[in-house]
Amino acid sequence: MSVFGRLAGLVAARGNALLTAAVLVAAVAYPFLFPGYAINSMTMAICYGIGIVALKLLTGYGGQFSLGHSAFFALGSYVAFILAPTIGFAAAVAVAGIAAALLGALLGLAGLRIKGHYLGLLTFMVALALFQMPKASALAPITGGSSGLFYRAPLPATTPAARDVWWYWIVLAVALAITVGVHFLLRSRFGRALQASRDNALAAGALGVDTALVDVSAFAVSGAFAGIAGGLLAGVIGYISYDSFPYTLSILLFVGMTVTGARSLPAAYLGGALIVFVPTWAHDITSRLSWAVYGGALLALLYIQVNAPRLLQRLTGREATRPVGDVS
Amino acid sequence: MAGGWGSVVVLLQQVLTGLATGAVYSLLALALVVIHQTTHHLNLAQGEMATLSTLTAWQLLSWGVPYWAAFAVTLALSFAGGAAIQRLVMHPLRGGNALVQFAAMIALFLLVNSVTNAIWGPNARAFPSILPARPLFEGAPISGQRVGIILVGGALVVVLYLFLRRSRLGLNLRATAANPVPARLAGIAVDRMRMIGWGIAATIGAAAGMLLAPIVTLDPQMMFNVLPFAFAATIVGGVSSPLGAVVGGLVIGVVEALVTIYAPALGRELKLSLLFVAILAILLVRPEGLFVRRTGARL
Repeated sequence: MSVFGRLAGLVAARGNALLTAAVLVAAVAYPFLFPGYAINSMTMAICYGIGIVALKLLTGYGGQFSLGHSAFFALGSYVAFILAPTIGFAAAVAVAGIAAALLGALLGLAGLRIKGHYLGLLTFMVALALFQMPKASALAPITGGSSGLFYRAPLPATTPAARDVWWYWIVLAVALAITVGVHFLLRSRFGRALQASRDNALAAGALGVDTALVDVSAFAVSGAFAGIAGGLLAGVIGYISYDSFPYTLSILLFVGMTVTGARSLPAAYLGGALIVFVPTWAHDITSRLSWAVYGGALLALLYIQVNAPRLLQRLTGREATRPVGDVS
Repeated sequence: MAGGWGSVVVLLQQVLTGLATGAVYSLLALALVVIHQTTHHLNLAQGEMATLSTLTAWQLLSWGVPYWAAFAVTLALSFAGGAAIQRLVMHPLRGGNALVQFAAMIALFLLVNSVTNAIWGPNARAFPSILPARPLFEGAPISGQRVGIILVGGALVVVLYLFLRRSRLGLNLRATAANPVPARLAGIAVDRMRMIGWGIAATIGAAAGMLLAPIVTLDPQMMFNVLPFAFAATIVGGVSSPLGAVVGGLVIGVVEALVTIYAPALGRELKLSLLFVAILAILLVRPEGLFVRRTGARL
């Protein structure tokens, strides 16, 4: 668990309702506090945050690796944009969620057969495969080929600035609903079964948990939320093409999940902010080696995360507490 | 080609071409299997490391180093580099869970890719071949180059297989991966085995890269385009079977060559999608791969 995860856990454990309320009020009031350009970036960060929440459900709580969540974003965005002109944007995003859930179930079936890093690479391949599909000539009439699709969702606002604020609130509301939903889902019978299946599938099975059903369902639910996030994000931007959600997004989502603590839901949005802002910072440091800076920073964070108890012990001279039962 | 002998020759040609490409997939797949056999992890950065090695070889050649000297120096550097990465990056993170290890490999992937791009830039380069690109003999359906790849690749595969299965060091490497604690109790230097494992995998990757470079374009993306196929090869064969990786790589190379000639639109635009469907089908029918015995598990 990371430092962020610990902090978020502390907040939850103390039941600090006041702080939660303050953060929520600040989030809702944000467009008034800081109007202008940054609103759009925040909206995007929240969309990615939804994707990270979905990934935490699957990986942090379910123990299944996915390096393919950009595929759900891409699928969701295309389904939303293809259907929106006929059935309306909201309904289209809902269908996008269903389509992504089906893809998730398919990957979940594969996940029953291969585990761990190999599932990670398989899902990565899916992200790569879906990346080249919209360009294929057979699909081009529907997907717009390499020129992409445009769609302007009807909103009760006319100026671009007012539209940005509307998008922010819509995305925030969906994010809140999904995060709270996942929170309670994890405390339900399904959530307990999911975590039991992660910790020891054999033991969980012996106790009567249908681990296959649980694991596949987790993939489907995670996919659905990521698909919805993709549909929303496409709406925010108003344009999609095959490279709107490249495979690198999968990597960024996975890293965003890892460094913010695989089992801390609110911290996911911090991860979303990292996705939006860190590449720009890294680019500012050095444009040629921006990904190297990113990789190096990630390694440093991982090192601190893994060795923090030992480093703290050396610093304070006290016995460090061992983190209990992490994902493996 | 008007049917008859013409189409048979085309078929044969494609099968042989596929075998040559497949031999390279096999090699990279073998590198993945070696890492798996020594650490039980999958190295996501394997392809990027191989690209770095190949570009190092290109650099040596462009400085005028003779081919075989450059080949040998690159292999040695790759071994040292692989071992160093294990020691400097993976070893300090050994206390982390699988999630941390996986994130570390992602970081490695980004680091190596970025460094390669920064040093050599995105341009494609010509990499010389050991053997001439012209047909093996007058009217032969395959170039000498591809025969060379099959032969060199095949020899490496046999050597590696014997090393892992028949030598003391190979046994120690496998024991380390299978269960590090008893391995250490049995007197195996587990940490050193892991370094050697990474070194060997990096060396195999380098060999695969140098063999592949003449028949594809050598640029920083070279192995990124190959890794999915190598990975598919390990899935087909089974993640712990060197023989399976080899057969899997050859099969995928041949199928790819046949699809490219008989269903060009499908092969060019949806290659990866097809590959994914094929992997999924194999996983559903025989999840442990075609060459791995089923094993039980205990509570």
